[in-house]
Amino acid sequence: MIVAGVDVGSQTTKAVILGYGQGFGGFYSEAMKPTGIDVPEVSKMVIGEALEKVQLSFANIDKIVSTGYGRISIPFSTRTITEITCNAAGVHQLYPNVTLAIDVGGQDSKVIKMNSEGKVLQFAMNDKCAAGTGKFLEIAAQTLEILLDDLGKISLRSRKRITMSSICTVFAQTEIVSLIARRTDKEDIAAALHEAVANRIFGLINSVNPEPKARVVMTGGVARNIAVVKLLERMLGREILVPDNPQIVTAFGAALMAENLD
Amino acid sequence: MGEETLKVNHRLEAQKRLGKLIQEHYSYAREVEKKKDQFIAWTTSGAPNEILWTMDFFVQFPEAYAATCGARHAAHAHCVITEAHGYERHLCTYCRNSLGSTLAEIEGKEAFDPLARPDFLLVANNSCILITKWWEHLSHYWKIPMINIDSPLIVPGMDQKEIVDHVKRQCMDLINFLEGFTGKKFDYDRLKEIVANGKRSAEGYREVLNANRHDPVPATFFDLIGHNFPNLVLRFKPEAEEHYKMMKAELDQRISDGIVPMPNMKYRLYWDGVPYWFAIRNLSEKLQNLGMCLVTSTYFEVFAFERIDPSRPLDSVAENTAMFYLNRSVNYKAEVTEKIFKDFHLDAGVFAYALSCKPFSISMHYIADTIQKKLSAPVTIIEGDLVDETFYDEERNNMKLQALAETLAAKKR
Amino acid sequence: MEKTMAIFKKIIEQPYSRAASWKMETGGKIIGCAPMYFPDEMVHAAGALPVALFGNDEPITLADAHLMTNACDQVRSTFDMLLKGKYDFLDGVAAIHVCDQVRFFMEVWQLDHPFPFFHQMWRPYRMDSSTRPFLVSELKRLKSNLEIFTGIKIIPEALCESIRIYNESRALMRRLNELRRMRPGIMTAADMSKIIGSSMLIPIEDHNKLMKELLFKVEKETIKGDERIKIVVAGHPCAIPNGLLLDLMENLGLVIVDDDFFSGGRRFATDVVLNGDPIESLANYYMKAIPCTTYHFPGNWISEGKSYSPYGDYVIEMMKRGRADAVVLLRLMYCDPFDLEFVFLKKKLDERNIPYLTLFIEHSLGPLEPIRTRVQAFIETLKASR
Repeated sequence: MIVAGVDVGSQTTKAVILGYGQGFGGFYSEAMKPTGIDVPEVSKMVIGEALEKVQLSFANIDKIVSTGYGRISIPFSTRTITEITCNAAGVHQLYPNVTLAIDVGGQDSKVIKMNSEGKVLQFAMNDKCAAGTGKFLEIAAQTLEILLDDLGKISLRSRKRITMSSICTVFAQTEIVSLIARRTDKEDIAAALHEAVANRIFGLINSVNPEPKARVVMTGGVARNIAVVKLLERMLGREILVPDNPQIVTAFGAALMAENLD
Repeated sequence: MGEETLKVNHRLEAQKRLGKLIQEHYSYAREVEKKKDQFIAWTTSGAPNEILWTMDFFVQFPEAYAATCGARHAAHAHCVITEAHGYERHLCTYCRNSLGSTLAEIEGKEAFDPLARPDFLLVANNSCILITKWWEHLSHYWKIPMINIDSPLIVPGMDQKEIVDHVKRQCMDLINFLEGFTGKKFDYDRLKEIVANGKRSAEGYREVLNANRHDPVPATFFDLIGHNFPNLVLRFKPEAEEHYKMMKAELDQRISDGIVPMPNMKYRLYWDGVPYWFAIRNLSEKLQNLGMCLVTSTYFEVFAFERIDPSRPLDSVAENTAMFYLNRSVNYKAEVTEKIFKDFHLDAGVFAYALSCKPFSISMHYIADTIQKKLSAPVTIIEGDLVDETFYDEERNNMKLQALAETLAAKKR
Repeated sequence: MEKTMAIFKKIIEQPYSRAASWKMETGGKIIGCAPMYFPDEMVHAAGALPVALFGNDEPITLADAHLMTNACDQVRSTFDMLLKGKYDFLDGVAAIHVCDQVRFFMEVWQLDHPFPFFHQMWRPYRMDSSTRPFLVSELKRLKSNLEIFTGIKIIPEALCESIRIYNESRALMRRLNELRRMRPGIMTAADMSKIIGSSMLIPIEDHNKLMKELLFKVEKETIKGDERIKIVVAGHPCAIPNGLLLDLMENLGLVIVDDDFFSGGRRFATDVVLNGDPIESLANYYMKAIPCTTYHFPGNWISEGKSYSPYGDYVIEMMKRGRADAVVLLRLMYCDPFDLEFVFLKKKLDERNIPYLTLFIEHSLGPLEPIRTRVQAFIETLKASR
């Protein structure tokens, strides 16, 4: 059986193809592209790209599960399942002992509390406001004229703690500019911004009442930011596991869910 | 008096004395907590606190604690603790500062210079309704009893006697409860004595505030705000009255000696709302540069407590709670503001919106508009918060103050 | 049933048009009453028509110049409508001060846009035998103000009669609610909210007549097994919840069996028990009202062992009564009373392992996507645990 999972995020669309048994062996393929405005089109392209890597075509796919904010715009999916359930499924498959998943993407953040079988018990989402998401860090990086990939590392070099007053991502830009004008170090500004993001995420985490000893995984693009991860580790008082490709986990979970569809 | 004969010195002896009074109050709190020889109560500004003092409670004020935390930049950290417990960010930061430090203490974490652990909680909803819910949370966390004195917002048409009777009935309930709680009988003579002290303190406070009617003022609004502490927290003791007596004498002396709190006093300004406790130095500097002298505020009215009267102790204490300044209609507040503008000869108004304080801020536009229209006085509304500095945008506020100064300058020409 | 439902829907679409025509027909006075607990019976007994002040979902444009943007949407939206002239047909406005936003802002309505009749009423925030006398005096003050305004003396018999008519309305609505609880799916939640909401917009006698017609038909309806997951909706926003939101929830796999909306369960939960003096009876009604986040229960904070959230208890009881599996909380943004109560409510729900979903709502629904994701994820969670 060959299944596909496609995760349509507001910024990137990810697809995973899984193959099981019957002469195929087991295989795995993935692909990722910016979402753009034509969701059905880009989804087809991303799945197509993943298929190409294993020399298969659409006709070979038995079931497709679509997830993510654009999931209902995909006419060819067998079922739509929310990214909450898919993310939990993906995380559980990769880390069977984990019961708390944090997923922070470009424009949303979510926290999922699961039981030991990977079933979702509680979840919390923030998708109305950019604060606490990748967008906030993206804008910060742009305004500070630093590469997004370097932002986390640079913030770790901060030596002075400052508090920023802007709750809103848009106004944060003005504030960053005026801090720079007052010769505040970029490292310190970056650190303050990371703290603001981490605080928001931490608030979300607490709203699902995590178990004190729960093992934690972080996924989504922001999981690549070492400073956010470290800050959250400090706030939670424990290690946070981050998979090698944190952005693909939800699509992977969608593919797993496809396999279980009857 | 020409500018050449004015000397600038904004240091008040009264400030040092105030510092000592505050210091003594808080170290006494530590002792009481250790020795446990007195019951400790937390209360609100407008509650009938004379009743607590009469029953020999050691009384502390989470609202005043919030102001201190704000001034020491410790409030934001407390507020962040509450976010982790599910409290929304728009909720009153006085409340979240208090709950944050309480939660920190209970969870064995660090709280900034916390108040002594309470045994009893008293609250009146004459400041706002939210404060009663805040006190419910304190009661839940500390696992101690709490009593609320319901105090209706006074709107035109309401009968004052009915309102005061309503509050008095609840005061009697409070007294009954406290007799059971402490095992002591309520001493009405002691109440009379305490009310007499409070009356003198309140009169002294008013005298101090009125000193600023003089042009130039002997002290700015920011110099004076801390001095509501004796009338709020200590008025049951003679120390409060003494403090104000000495302070009035000092202010009068400054007036005759031509001592002023700042150079360049071009305009006399009104402040509306709660001071941004964390931004006082910041704002003082900015205002000074612009030649704007903050003279007074209706904020002082909150701590006036002038209705207490030893000739009818319990009735007047009930009346004092019932007619609390914050508990009055928008129109009443607008009228008081107008009167202050006239009595103190003010040129303009700075209205300080506090994002998390709806009672103060929600009708602020209306009052600012009224002043502007009726008195042709320029006004500006700046934004910030009571104690959480992350809600304060210095650049934008400075710009507004600058614009106000320019408007005033243009007016003069 | 379709015909009757169509009438209810029309009322909600044009909330004040029936009131306007009533005024033309009878020459009577219309008083806009904030939907939070105002004693409509008293207005009715004075021969006037009480209509609820609901906001709408138009963008808020004029109010922002007068009002902070983190005031709750109900206060902002209704004030915006006032400034846009949508309440010009009213002869008066009245409200009970349930929270800080209403109590410190209501008067600005009168100062900005004076009405011939304007009444602010205080229901004591703490209700016990010491505060009851003030509540009675407030009811009497309202009565006398209404008498002065309408020129009609409210004799006890008239007030009793009005109370009886409103009790009848409550009984009819309770019966309908009972039917939907016993036969989930018999009525959509959106329709239910329109039915109850419209009782606050037209003469109560007319609504009672429509209710009787509707009930007559609904009593006979049966429903085949409804596979959807049963929930109750709590949160009592001070507005009529958006029908699209309720439909979305019910289309995705939930069925709502009860609620505590002001334009819903809260409206008809208890009757005014007529016992001699009608004003005393009204006072008792307030004393015995179902818990709300805008109440303080003094007894719960004096002695040990009492509940720290009577509101939470009520929500759980409502869930059990409807044999529901979960709770959805509709939280109006920037609602101080609810946001403080929520910390305790959540604790209660978590203690009993009751699954719940929070949906923050603003006066205009906004994009449905985020809501769809949350509701769908919630349903997936509930299904997985079955």
